Amino acid sequence: MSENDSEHRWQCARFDEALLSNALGDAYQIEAVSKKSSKLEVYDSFEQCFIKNGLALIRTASHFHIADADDLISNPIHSDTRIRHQQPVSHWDFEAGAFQRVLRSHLKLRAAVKLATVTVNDQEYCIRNRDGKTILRLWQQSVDTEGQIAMLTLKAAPLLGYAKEADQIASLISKKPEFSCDHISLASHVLSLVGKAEAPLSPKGTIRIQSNDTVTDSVTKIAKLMVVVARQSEQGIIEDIDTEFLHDYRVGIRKLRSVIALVKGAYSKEDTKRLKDTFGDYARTTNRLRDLDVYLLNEAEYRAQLPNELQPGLDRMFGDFRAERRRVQNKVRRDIQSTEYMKSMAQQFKWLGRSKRPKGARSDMLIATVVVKEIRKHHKLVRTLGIAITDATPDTEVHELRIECKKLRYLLELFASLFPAQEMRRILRRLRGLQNVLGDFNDYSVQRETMLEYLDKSQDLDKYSAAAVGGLISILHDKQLDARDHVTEKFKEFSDGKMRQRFNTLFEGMENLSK
Amino acid sequence: MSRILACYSSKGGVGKTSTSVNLAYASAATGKRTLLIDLDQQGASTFYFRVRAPKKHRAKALVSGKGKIRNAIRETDFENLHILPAHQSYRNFDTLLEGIKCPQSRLAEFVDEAGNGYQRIILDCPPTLSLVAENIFLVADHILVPVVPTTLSERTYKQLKSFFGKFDFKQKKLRPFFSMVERRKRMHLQTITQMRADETRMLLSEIPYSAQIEAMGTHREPVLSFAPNHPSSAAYCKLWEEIESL
Repeated sequence: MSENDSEHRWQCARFDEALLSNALGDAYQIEAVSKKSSKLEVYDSFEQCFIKNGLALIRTASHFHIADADDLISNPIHSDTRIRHQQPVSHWDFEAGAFQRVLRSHLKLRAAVKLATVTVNDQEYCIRNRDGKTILRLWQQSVDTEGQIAMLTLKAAPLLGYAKEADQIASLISKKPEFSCDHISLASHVLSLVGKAEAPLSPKGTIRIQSNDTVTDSVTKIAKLMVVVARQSEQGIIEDIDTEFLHDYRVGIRKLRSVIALVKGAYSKEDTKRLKDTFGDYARTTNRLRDLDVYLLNEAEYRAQLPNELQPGLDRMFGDFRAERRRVQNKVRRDIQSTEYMKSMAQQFKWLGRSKRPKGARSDMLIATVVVKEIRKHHKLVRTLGIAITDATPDTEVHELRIECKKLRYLLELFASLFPAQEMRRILRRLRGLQNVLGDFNDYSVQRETMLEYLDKSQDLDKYSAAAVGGLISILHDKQLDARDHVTEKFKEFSDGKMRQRFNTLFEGMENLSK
Repeated sequence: MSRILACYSSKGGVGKTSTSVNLAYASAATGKRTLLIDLDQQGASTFYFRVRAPKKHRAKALVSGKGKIRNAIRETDFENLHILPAHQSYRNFDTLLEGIKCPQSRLAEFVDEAGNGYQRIILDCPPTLSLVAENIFLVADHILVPVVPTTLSERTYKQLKSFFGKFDFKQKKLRPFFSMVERRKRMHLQTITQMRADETRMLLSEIPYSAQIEAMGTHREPVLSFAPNHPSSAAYCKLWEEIESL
């Protein structure tokens, strides 16, 4: 029943009792009352999805809650689940409800790991008037991390009926320069104190390329960033924190290989081949692990597609997949930790950083010229292939269209910074629509083959498991046909007259450069 | 619903204030939101909690129902315990009450307004058998009457009881208990035995006579706060438990 709306709060540069007593003068007595100290742990995903959104995922003992990043206290959402281990946590570790929903919307497939441990020390003071009556309670809070003070705050709450006196005290405190400082967000400040202020590079981020850069410079810039993206994910793959580390690792490598392959002539033919092969090898060793990750992440979805009576039949297959994943993960971990891999990776990175290297056919050309040319070329190819597709077209040609679309998309995404953002967004949206059906078409076909292979190779498969896998194969087949039916429709959406107009707008102003 | 307890006796110096203050403290300590209303113009309860009456706080405002009573409530130094301080103008309470319609129930309205949101309301009453007292008898759920085990106190209690009978107040509200008991005095022991035999409503707990209780004036705190392990503190706790079980 205290008057919370008349609460006062200060962030201080410095605090001690003498300073406070000096600020208040003789009219008031200060009495230190209770003192308590508690420990908090700040969690976040690798890409710091909570901090980026002004939130903080906090652990106190075995409970988690989400609060404002500013003070780690306001607007909390609590979870009832007790987590006793110190491993990374994912949204599926918590009970269904509001907490899980918020957690999932931020983390998605990521896991959260402990980034910092914070000690919160609270000291309560009573401020008494001449009668010895307490009129105001002050709480001085200091938040420490690794022996450094992250934040000092002072909070005052008047006792009921003493708001006027409390206002007088508050104005005395506010007059002291020591009791004020620039506003800081506690969570971000804590992370900067433990050296984790900068969120890691995202493989999805746009890379700034200048239109008058040379081909080699731009390609090298992208390639180097992609090596960084891949390398920063290595530790997460080794510790198997979440499946997104491997995903990002592969995206990094794929983008690196794409930029080298799509903008030909940045390096000599031998160097281009060496880079493509080496990074191709890195990616290949992780193929099976990624496939298994995808199957296991979609386990619930697969199960839901089968009638109830067949669902238990999938236990065996997913059990086998899980066991295989453990084996394959161990292998990938050993590969990434091997001296051979580390040496090779370091060598490639060093090579990309060299100031001089053998020139390629288009090394010194302007990047914008080459990119426009390549986009035109691939756009034309997509259109030629797409127009030719009818319901009777064999699957191989549909696959070809898929590959071409992929190349076009990578070109557009990697060099997006050269073009007007709004047009680019519109083109990419439609292209993605087409790519999704093509991707589904391909995925269902690959998944069907995997299941067939599983049926073929598994020994002593009981009839229920076989029936369930069989059921899944037939469902996947139906879905593949369904996706195939939508290809022509989505292609039309992508290649209407408006879209060609958009591509032309994209290149306006670039044509002069290319002449 | 809040429960209203009045600490009342028409005799002075029997331990009404120290009982009110300590029972209020005991109530708040169990987590109950408690309001102590000091109706005695001497303001001893108010003094014990180091509170001063607000300047604008006048009996006239309370009686007329025009003042914002809740603005006068003060938070004590103890969690869950608030106090509505006394004011010197309370000496005119009776005269003021006589001037209004339905004077017997005015205090009920006033307690209702002030006590909204509190689980326990304790009234520290002035030693009078006037209109104010009648208001108190109406509003309280239980009337705690401290009785010093002496002939005079016993007589005062009997007078109160017959007053209740005469004016049709509910006698079952009366809850006498022995206060300032000195067990080494023969007279005290005799009175206790006699009264326990005659009066079935007598509470079992007894508050001993104690220098610590008198020392509340110097400490300006309930004895339960500055000497929680003292026998008198234990006695107040026991009394509170007994009242809570009524």
